[in-house]
Amino acid sequence: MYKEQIHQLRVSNLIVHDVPRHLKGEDPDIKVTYSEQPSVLTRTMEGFFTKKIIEAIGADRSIEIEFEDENENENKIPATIKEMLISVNENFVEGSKILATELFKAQTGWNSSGILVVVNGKVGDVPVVVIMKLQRDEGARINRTDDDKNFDIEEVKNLMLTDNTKTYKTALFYKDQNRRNDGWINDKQVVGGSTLVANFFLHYLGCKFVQDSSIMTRSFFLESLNFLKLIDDPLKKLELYNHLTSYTNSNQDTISANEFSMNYMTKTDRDAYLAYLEVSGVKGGMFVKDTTKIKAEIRKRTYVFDNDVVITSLNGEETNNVRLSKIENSDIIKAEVKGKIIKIGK
Amino acid sequence: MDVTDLLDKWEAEEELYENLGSNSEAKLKNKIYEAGLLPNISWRLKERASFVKKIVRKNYSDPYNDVKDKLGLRIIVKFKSELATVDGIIQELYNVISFEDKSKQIAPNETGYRAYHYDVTAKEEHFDKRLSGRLFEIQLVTLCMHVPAEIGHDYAYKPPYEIGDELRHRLYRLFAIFEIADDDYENIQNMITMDPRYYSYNVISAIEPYFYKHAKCDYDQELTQMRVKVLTKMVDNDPDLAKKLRKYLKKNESKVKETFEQWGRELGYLHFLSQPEVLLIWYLLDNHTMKIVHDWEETEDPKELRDLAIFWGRPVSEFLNI
Repeated sequence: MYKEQIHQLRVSNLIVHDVPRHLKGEDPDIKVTYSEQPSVLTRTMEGFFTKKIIEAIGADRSIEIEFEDENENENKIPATIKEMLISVNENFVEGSKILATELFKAQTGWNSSGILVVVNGKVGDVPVVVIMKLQRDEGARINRTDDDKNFDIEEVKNLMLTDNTKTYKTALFYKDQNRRNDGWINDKQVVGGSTLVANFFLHYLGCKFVQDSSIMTRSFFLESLNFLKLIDDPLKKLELYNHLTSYTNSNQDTISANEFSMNYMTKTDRDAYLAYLEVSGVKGGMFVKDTTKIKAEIRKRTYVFDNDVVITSLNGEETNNVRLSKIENSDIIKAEVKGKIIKIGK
Repeated sequence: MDVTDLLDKWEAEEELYENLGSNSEAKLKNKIYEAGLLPNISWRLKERASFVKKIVRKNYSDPYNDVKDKLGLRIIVKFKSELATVDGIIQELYNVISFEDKSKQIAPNETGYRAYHYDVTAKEEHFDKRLSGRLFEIQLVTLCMHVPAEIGHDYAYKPPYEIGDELRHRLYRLFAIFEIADDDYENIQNMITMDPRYYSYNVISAIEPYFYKHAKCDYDQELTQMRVKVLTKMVDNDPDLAKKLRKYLKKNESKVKETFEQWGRELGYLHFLSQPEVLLIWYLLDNHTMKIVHDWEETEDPKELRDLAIFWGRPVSEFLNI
């Protein structure tokens, strides 16, 4: 199955378990509230959840995942999900209860309470299992009074999903002979590395990212650079170059060509840039950033002029040391360097 | 069999012929949409009085079975070039017992009623056993064949009395005008399709057949024209857009089919999926993602684009200000 096939998703069953917040060693009466059978879904609700899952898993920021090596991992989740994918409806309720129990056990006081929604269905002919962790919300609803003269406002509790809610923790797993991964995750709190709190959902699922982040980051950076080389306007090229290195070097844990183009490029350039990257094998979607393989490129900046003058800055972020400006009515760039000369020669 | 017996038999079988009529309409409609055309189908059962009059007038040897138009179905297409497509559909669904091209009865120096007439029975593989084997008539015409036939039918084709040479000449003059129009409308359509000045029209012509095929409904043409003008500006009115759309839709046709099957059923989504510009929007989402995301929000509700993108499996919610 490919992410591009997600439009074929059909939801079969959906079940909800309430996983409360708790501190370890706290009141033993705080427990998971289980459902013993799938919820009855109207066609509208079925369509609603299908849309929400497609929105989460089809998004640019959803990332490929695979199960950790079972030998190294005592996590029950991978085996449970695999069983649910094989047995489909037979093991659905019991499997979902195991998922809820394990979530409860894995959570610490840091983790918010939540509603665990487990879905099974198909994408085309491929069986899938979807796990969503949602949070309760409250709202207000209007009701017309009986005398039809006013609106009453009614408090609404236990909202778990609205049309505008973005689902922040959703994972889809599938069973396919020719699979390259085990599924996808969309988690707002994803970071590189293995920080327990931030990557909690990923670790709870017993998964790791498929992609080699350092290779993906390097490809993104180098191919973006290649695109910038094609830009005629020298000042525009320069500005984008600075943005690219800043963006890649920022505190963000995930980056994407789509986001970069959206934030820094004109609309005329955006699609040309994304098309160029696509042809070069770099997809526009989100991935975990790892600058290990491009540390030097990000820090070092070199400006080569047509009069054989070369200016190299070894601290890429220090743009105040090299100030560049365009001379009016020409394509000549003036460079102003501030600093003490400590060495002359090669 | 006397007339009363014949009427009793007709009364007993009327419901079956009614089912045959409505089933035929549904199946023909489906097939015509699948061919990328807009179906225009009507049918009627022979009224009892008309049934009796025909039997009495014609003096048939086997009156009940010799009345071949107990059920009459008429299919109207826009252009002559579409006749062959619908003829193929009729041949697929029905056993054609006899076929008559009425225009062949007109001498070269004359004009008159034109139509394709088919006496058919429904094929068992497409229809319920009780409905197959029952003879009825299908007429296939263009709009320009239909109008003069419909209005002038009683005067020219089946005159109740002699109308005189002058009136007859004027009637047949109208037949001639409609025959010329039949050819010329199509020629004009072909010229427009090849003329780059009719940009929006050509873009719509590229997407319309796919829309009819998979959405299987008609659409608000004025709304489509307005929206296509706005959407094509996003690609700077690319002169090759119609060509690119055809290629794109051919490549993604199964996805279009799946998407309409999945979401077309839902009443709340009918608005989006009942207009052909949705195909252009999906093309822009795949090929000019950031452009449509940016430009859409300037004039339209971002939730609409959000949902259309989700239906297509290409969500862009994270880039929209919702």
